[in-house]
Amino acid sequence: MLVAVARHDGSAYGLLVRQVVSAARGQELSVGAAYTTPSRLEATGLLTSHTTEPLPVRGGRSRREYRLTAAAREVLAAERERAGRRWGAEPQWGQA
Amino acid sequence: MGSGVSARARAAGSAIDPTNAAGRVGAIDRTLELVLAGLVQDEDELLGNLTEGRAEVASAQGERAARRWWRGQALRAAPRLAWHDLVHRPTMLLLGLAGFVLWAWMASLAPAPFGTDVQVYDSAHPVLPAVSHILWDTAVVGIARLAAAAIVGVAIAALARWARLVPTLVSAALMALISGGPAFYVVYGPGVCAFSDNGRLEECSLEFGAWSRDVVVPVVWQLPTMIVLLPLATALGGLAVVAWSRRRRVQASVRLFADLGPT
Repeated sequence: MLVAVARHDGSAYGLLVRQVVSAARGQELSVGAAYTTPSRLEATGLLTSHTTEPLPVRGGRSRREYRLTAAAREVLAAERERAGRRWGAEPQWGQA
Repeated sequence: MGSGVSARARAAGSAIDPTNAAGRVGAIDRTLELVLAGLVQDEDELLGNLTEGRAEVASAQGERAARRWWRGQALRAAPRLAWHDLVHRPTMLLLGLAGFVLWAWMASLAPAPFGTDVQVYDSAHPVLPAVSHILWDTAVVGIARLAAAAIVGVAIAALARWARLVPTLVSAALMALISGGPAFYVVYGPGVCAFSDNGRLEECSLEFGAWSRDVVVPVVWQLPTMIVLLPLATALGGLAVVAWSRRRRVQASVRLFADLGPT
C-alpha cells in the first residue's frame, strides 16, 4: 500500500491506490480495503492527507489525497535495502 | 476528518452526480449508501470512490454491470468498515456498551401488566395465568423493548461524532445475544417432588409446556421480537440519525451557497 502511494505521492487516493495494489497482487482489492488501510496508515503516522475540491466524476464528492511522511519514506528505504541485501546474497542459479 | 470543501463546488458537483442524473438509484442503493455513510469518518472518500469506480465500470461494461459492481463493493465494505472502527476506536465499543446498559435500564421500567413474565409456578402458586394475560404481557413488554431499542439507537448515534452506526451495532448485537433470556415459559401446573421412604426429598421436577397453545403464540412473537426486531429497531434509530445529519449537512451547504450568491 505504501509503495502504491509512493508511486503517486501527493495525488494518490483510494481508487487509484486500489488499482495499483490490485495490479501488483493480481487480485482485486475491495473499495472498503482501499478506504480502511490508508486511514490506518494515516493514524499510525505513515501518511498525511488533504481533501480536494468536489469532483463531478465522484458525484460532487471530494477526494482524499495521500502523501508519504518522512517516517514512511524511511520504512520504504529500509525495506528496499533489506530486499536488496536478501536478493544480493542469493546464489546465481544456473551457473557452474 | 471532515472535508473542507466549498459549498458552491459541492452543489455544482452534486448537480451532475452520474447516479442522480441517471435516476436509477433504487431504494436498496440509497439504503446501502446510508449504511456506508454511517460506518465511516469520511463518507466523501468512500462514497466518492464507489461512485467513481461505478462510472468506470459503467463506461466499460454498461450500467447493469456497474450497479452490480457498486452493490458488491458496498456489501463487501460494510462489515470491514464496522470492524475497522470497532478495533481501532475503543470509544465506539464503550458507547455501544453504554447504549446496551441504557436499554436494559429502560426495558426494566416497563413491567408486564399482569406480571406473567416473573410469576413463579410451583406448589405455592398452582394457578396458571390466562392465555390472554400472557399475550397482553408479551405484547406490552415486546413493544416497550422495541421502543427502548429505537431510542437507544438514536441516542448513541447522536452521541457519536462520526461512524454513527458502529456503536448502535454493538448495542444491537448485545441485545440479540441476550434476547433468548426473558422468554416466557409456561409450566404445566405445580412442580412435583419425589420423596424417599424415610421422607427425604429425592428430586423435584417441572413439566414445561413447550408446545402448548399457551406458549406457542408468545414464543412465535417473542423470538422474532428479541432476536430480529430488537437489533433492527436499534439500527433503524441509528440510521435515522445518520440520515438526519446528512440532510442537515446538505442544507447547510445549500444555505451557504445561497448566501454567497451567483458570482
